[in-house]
Amino acid sequence: MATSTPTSADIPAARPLARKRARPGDQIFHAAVFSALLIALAALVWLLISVVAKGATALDWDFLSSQTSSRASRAGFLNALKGSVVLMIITIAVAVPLGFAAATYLEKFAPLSRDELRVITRRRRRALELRRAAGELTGPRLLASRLGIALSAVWARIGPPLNTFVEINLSNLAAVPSIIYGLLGLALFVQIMGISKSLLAGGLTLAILVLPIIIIASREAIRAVPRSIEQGAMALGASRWQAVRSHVLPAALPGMLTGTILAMSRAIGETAPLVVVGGVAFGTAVPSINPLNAANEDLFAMPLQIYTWVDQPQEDTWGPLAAAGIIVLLVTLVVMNLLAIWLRNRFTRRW
Amino acid sequence: MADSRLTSPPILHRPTEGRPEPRMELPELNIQADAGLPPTADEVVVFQATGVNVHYGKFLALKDVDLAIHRNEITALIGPSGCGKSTFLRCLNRMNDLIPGAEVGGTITFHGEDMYAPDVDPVDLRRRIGMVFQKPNPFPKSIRENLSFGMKVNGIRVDDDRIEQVLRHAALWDEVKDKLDQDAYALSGGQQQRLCIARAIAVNPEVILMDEPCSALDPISTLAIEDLMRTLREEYTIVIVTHNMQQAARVSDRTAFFTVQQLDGGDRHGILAEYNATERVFRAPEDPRTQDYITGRFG
Amino acid sequence: MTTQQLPEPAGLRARRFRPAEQGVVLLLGAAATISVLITVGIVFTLIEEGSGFWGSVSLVDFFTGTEWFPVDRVYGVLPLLSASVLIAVLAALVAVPIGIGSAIYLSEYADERTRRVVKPILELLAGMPTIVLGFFALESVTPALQGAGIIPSDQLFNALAAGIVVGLLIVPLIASLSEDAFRAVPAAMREGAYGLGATKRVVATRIVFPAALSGVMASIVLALSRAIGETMAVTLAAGTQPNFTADPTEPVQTITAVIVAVSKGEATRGSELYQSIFAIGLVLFVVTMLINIAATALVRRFRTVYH
Repeated sequence: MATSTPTSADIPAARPLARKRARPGDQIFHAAVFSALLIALAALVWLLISVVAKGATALDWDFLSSQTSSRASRAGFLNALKGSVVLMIITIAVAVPLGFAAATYLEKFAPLSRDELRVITRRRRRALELRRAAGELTGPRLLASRLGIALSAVWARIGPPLNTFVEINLSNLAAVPSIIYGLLGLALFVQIMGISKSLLAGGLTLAILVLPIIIIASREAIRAVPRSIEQGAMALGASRWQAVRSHVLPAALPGMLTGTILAMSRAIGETAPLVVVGGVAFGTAVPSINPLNAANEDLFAMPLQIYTWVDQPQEDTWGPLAAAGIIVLLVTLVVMNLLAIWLRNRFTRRW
Repeated sequence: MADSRLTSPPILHRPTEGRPEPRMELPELNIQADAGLPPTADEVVVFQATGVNVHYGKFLALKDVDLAIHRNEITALIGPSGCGKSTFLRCLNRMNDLIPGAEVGGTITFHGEDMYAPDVDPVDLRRRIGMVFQKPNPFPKSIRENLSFGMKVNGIRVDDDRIEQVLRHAALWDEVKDKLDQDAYALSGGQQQRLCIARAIAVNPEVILMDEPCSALDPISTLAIEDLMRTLREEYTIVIVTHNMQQAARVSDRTAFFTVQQLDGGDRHGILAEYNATERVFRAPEDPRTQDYITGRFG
Repeated sequence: MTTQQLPEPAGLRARRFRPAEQGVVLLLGAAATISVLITVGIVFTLIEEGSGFWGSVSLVDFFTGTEWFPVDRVYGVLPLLSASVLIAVLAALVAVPIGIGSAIYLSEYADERTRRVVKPILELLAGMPTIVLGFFALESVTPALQGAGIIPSDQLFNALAAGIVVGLLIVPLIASLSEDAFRAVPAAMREGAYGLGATKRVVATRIVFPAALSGVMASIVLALSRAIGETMAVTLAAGTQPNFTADPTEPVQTITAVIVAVSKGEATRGSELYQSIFAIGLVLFVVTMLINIAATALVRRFRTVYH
């Protein structure tokens, strides 16, 4: 970047700087990649317009407040709305505690390495010998301690590979097609456990479906909290769990919640696993919003109701209803995504 | 950029890691009158390290260190990067336990008791030996909560008087008394670091370990922390790791110089080269490697 | 504060057991093992619920049969598998150029502001419920294809419309993973090329793209796995007619569509039809698992390129 070198004037017969020139190849390439993006965005716009054009007329207060019906002119979205609320409550109640707990364990307590576990085993063995020599340990207690140390030696061997297995398993689970979860839900909840084809069976299935997603997102949020925070707490004499509970988890919470909302926005639009678990409900009774009653309620959900309507043979009469349902579903999704973005921007910390 | 030191006055704090002040003139050293305090002021030994080795996995990071740290003194650990001085500091509150694969050999006693005896509780130990880290790491909470956490964990009653007392002690009270419930991350870097010191002394430790507490701070904040260390010495034993030799010279009573030993096989590990009263180490070092380092001939 | 007389310091307290904490950690660990239990549960139910099927239908007939006609107890998986693959391939033909083009634009040409606006919009597309895409295929894409004369006007169901909307669904996946791969290419490599007088196009195609190739491949493979497992859009748009064909204008029925069709009716547990959806579910699970393993291997390679 030296600028004080001789100027071009000092060099005899310097070639003048070339003027800008058109490079058609570059321009075409630029236009091509730009239009690739435009096509994707245009398709989205086309989708939104065709949904709104079809559904806007059907979308009114009656639509939102009436129960479903076998006659298109009277059918409303209320069953689906209430059903989706109950499904979300069940999914959150099951998946969030499990997901947060699993993420905390995997990020903060899972066996880190074989070396570390070996050191711990060695320390415990030394302690045992010391106490045995001092005559503190005898008979069955000595045996129990020896057994404990043998177990921790075994854990040092199998813990780390087990942990690696859990990691790989988790990323694979997140990529399993959702319909497979439907088959699991059908076999496990409906057939084996004998829960009827109800909101409860659907909610539990969705909970299993989003659990890996919540775990992965929560782990990322926990990982984003610097280790120095945890170490600062431990240097004050906190145990690891105290440090994690009081400082790491509160700092990671906004990120964990953001991940949870995004996982829920995936769950709320899922159709395939619900069809497999619950089939298509023929009843019209509006489910109660009380989740404790969910085992007795027919399986209704926004995407399921939309599917029922799209699948009807008389497209002209049912199409507008389906489109109106889609508008409601999409608005819900956009609100959830905005909430997640707001949460992320509002509470994300620069460390 | 390369040669600004030719024109600008010597800077107190050099952020460039591991590069000693070149050609430092010894008489320029700003050694405090009281920093030359005879090391015999209190002969109570707090830590006694004997033959300490630290391994990280197979790698030997620190070899065969013998060192005694005395009560109510400031002991500085200096030396080039990778010499193991921070590693040694972290042995003193068993923070190395938290690093996977780290193993401490030899013995370290705390008031004559083996700290690494298998039945010693490391959590309880850390309550008595506070630590301040290189980068200020306040909890992402209010100033008040930063102080009260350690107190609660240690069963100390939390009240406003106590909070004020601790903050005054850390020379932070006047700057934060109106914003105790504000987020600690709104403070400047120097204030954050003093908050971390306040947090450490709030739990009544006997020792405070400081791991390059000023390396992320500007010169003015650095001076404020150094002043604070001198007052804290009255009540606490302080061990500080620093890259800044002037700082070691200004604040410490004793200085331990660590260096890197390069073996023929290519292995390198940290060793303790010299340990003495600070004034001796800087004015008349016994070990040629110390001489080279403090005069900038190292490397 | 000044109570720091300490003539004789207290002894080091003996190691304390913290049973409550051990308990908490045990609980957390138990939660983590649930993810393993889910996998075990999936494999177990797919095998157990479908076990009767493997007893009554020969493996050879199942894997080589070109007809799926449960009413006559004819179970050949090839038309279903080929339909799933056909739609995934059509989706890739749509999504790969659009996705990679978008990724190049976003990583090499777009400014920060454009990126900030466009990426959430692409995320919206990625999170689009597939039932919505199915509706879109049926209501808009198929009529457009009929209008263009590609599909006969009296035929509603076809693989092409399904492939196009599934393609739309995986565009954001390819775009965002490929963009990550492009942006992981060190700036120094770009600068080196610019310093030699290369234009943006040359840098993008000759430097950045080859360097990020394994990441791009991984994104495509992952997208294929997503496309094969896609259900609602293909159920609605491609039809319910098992058809062993590679012609995209014809109706086809994928593995996932068969599972949905059977589930909608009342197939009682233990019946051959009920068992058959677990059998083809197992095939689907194994196929996606293999694809995911391939993608993970690619990603691992791509991660170790720069250090």
